[in-house]
Amino acid sequence: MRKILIAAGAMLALAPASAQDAQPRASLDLAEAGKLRPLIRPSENEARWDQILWTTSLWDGRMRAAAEGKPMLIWEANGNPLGIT
Amino acid sequence: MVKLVKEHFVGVATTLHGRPEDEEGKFFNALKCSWGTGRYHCVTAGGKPLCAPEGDSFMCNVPAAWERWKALPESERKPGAVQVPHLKSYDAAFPKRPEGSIILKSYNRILERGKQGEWRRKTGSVHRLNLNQDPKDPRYIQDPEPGRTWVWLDEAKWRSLVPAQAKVGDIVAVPETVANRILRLTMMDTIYCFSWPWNPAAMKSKDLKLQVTDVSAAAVSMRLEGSVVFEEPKRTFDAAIVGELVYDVKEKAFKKFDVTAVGDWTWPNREGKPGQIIGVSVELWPHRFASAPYDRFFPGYSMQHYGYDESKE
Repeated sequence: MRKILIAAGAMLALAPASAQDAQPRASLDLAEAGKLRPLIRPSENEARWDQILWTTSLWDGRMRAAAEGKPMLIWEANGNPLGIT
Repeated sequence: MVKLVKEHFVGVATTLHGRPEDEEGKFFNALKCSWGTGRYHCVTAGGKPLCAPEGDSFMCNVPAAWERWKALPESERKPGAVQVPHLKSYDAAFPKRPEGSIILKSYNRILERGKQGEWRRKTGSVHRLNLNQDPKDPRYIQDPEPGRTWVWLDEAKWRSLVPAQAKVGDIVAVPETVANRILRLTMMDTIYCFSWPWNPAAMKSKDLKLQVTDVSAAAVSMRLEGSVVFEEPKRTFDAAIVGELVYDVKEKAFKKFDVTAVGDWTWPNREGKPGQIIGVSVELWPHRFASAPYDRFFPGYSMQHYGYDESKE
């Protein structure tokens, strides 16, 4: 198995197992994490369904729908579709 | 469709793992919709399905449902025309998020290195394995978006990370239960679909160090550093981790809980065994989805259906 080595301020590369085994694991630093975070998290044009203010209680949704005069859209999955776990 | 739903519908997101034994459960069961993972249905507050005749198909035609709604008499759709009372009692046995808990929201995404060594998102047609990690049944996603998971930390767990008399340089011991919960439930690949939490035995090594970096009358800042290695027969993840936690002294609450990880993800059974780089970003999530008086099913309940036993943390 290859392991990723991350060194602060240096160009990083995936190393083959033999090379990796000879080197101590370097840590991920906050500066590098600052670059990674916006790449990992959704962009504005992604996850558009997340723009909907979902409620997780059917009954609360029902009360809101009745009060506002709207139909409900109920979305269901193996685990809550908003975040699975 | 998002615009249509945002403007004209009330969105309800739920899970198919059981129904509460109360009026809400009765209402759900009476809808007689064909439920399944990823399905959605449109209904009125009074319980009338709006997806027929395609109601039993995999996906409801939402624009058609909207047209059916508009064709209903005012007595069924005028604001306040249908009276839905507050529930007098809830199913006490039904899972709910612990009071005082915090929500951590986690994203996971496939990354790669550019020619200059810079990080970038993996785009194009990207290979995944199906849920069973079966190499004979590969899936491909075009320009995959991040997967996501949710974790809650009950009050005792998140408070265990707050040092009593913090001084710069202090090392804060991260309880095993807290470390295991965060790592097993966020260091995951849910890009194709949901996945299973890491089995406890899959955690081959773990090294987390939480150190106080700044103390003031207003806040205590801490840096989390470390790594984790998960290995199961069908998947492995070897990640470096760094995080920044800020505790608001006056509010007595975390105001920042950022954890970032990046590492090699492999599928040992996959032919050729090429892996991918997976990045994980965890953040503190405001209680936006609150459904008073409690959060039903959300977040964290369904993980128990996939092998995560809270009682054995």
